[in-house]
Amino acid sequence: MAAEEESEMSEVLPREILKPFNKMPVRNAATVLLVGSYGTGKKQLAKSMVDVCTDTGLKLQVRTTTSLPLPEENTDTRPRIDYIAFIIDLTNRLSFSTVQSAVQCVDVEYFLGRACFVVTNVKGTSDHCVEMEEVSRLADMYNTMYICGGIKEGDPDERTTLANRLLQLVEVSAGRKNVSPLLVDLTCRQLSFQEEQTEFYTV
Amino acid sequence: MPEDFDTPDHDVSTPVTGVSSSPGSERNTLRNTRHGAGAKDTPHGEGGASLSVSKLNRTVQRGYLQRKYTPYRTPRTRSMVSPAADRTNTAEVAAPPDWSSLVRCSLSVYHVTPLYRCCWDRAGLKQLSGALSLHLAQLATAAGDNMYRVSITAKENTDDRLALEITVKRTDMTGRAGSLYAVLCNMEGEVTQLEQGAFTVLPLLLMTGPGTLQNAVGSWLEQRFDCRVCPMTFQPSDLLWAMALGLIRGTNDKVKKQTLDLHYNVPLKEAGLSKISLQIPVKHAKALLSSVTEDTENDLQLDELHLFRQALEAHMFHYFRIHLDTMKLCLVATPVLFVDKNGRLKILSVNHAPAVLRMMTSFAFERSPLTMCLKAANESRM
Repeated sequence: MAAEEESEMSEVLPREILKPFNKMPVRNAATVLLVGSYGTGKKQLAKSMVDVCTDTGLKLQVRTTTSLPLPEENTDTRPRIDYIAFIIDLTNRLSFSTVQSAVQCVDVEYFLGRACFVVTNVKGTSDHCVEMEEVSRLADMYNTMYICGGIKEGDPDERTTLANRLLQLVEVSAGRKNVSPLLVDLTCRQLSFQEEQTEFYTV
Repeated sequence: MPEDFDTPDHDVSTPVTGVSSSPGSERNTLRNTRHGAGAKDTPHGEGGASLSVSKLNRTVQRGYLQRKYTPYRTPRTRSMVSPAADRTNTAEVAAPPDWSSLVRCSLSVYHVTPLYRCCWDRAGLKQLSGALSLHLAQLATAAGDNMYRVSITAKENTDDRLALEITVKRTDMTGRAGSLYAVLCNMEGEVTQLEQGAFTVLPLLLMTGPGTLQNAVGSWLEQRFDCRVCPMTFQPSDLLWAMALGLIRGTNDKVKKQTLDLHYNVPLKEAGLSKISLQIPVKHAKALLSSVTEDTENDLQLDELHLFRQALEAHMFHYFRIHLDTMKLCLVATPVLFVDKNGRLKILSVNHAPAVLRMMTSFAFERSPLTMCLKAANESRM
């Protein structure tokens, strides 16, 4: 069954998978990659992140893309990607499906605290085309946290708040805070430990 | 106690041993869950849904870490079969009620919280009719001398469920012009109506008639039975379920053009284009739906519906370069039924009315978690 399903998908070549530790880090600098389809507000978010960062002494570079894998021509000139933020707009089904296909091109190491899902347009459930449940299922499958925020709607303050939250995570993965991103990731999610209930599993 | 709040997530297919980066792991979410009984999730997590997880997970550790979920989750399967009236042929079953007054008129759909103290005997119903006509007379004094004649009856459905039928007729006009017809029903919903103590659970209200009368009847229901009557709006996913019901349940030979119409709203920033409408011949749509589903007789799975939607979107992108994913579905019209996102419904064929009502009842239940809490409270009391 697994073999059939794998053959139906297009193969992701090993050289296309984005890896965090292929390149050397740069002192006092960080690079963030924002992945999201057209119209989700990546450029606005990028601008507000850079604005917040100008006075903290961290040189931030924000790259945006609508799909992964990234083009090969830039592989040598591109710096090390410290953090990846996948942007999902709940009123846009296409953004969810591009994120679903993009997460396959990312190495496992990123999901240990160096990536997150940013969910926008969460308020106003009458416009939702993607259920929040599907997003949380995706996030659980990749063991990665998701942040709800507003980029295009609402006040510009919401965007600044979201940018600040992302920046705190970026600083941890860039190595500025003397704490491993995996530790931060573990403390960020609500988990409860339950005894196994065998009736939920079938063989 | 944490068990009161979280539903064990039996849909997560994460291998607990770690995050895998294999390409197949993500596709699994679309296809892996095949539920046996197709039961809905209850707040206590007792649903019969089962998940196949590899044996490795079970033997590796005794418990599992999971996220706390909200108590209500949308169902992954819906039944497309009509209620028991069609299925059983035994002579003991009473004649199915006549839904023909609901057919071919534009209905507004509301969902209602449980009604307090509704009595079903004839004297009680007469009293209700009297109270409603009094209420309407009080409201009408400002507008003039419109006298209304009200009758409230109970309709017996199969398996002992009752529906409340309200008819408000103007005395100066004959026929249906200017009159209101409303039905409060609970069509094979999960919570049966008569076991809840002083409350009667009739979550679905369908009304047809002038808007002022509808508001008047709604406000009377709220006052009399201490409930809330809220207009129901449909999400794109609900419209897709209704479309699937319309396709599967089939044919209506009285309608001239047999097409499936889908209307999409274009997001605001595309100047000059506000709506996209698709018309697909019904037999092609049915062929597509039957090619993605395994079991069209009984239950339809959410995954199959997603596959249908993705096929349609892929087709639109391939031929027209239009991303249907970014558009929002707002209207569905099949030969059997017509549903709008604002809560307008039209049933076009009387044979399929029970099936449509049953789906609407399940939508109404999803919008009022109050009913689930009532059921839970009653069960814990007993």
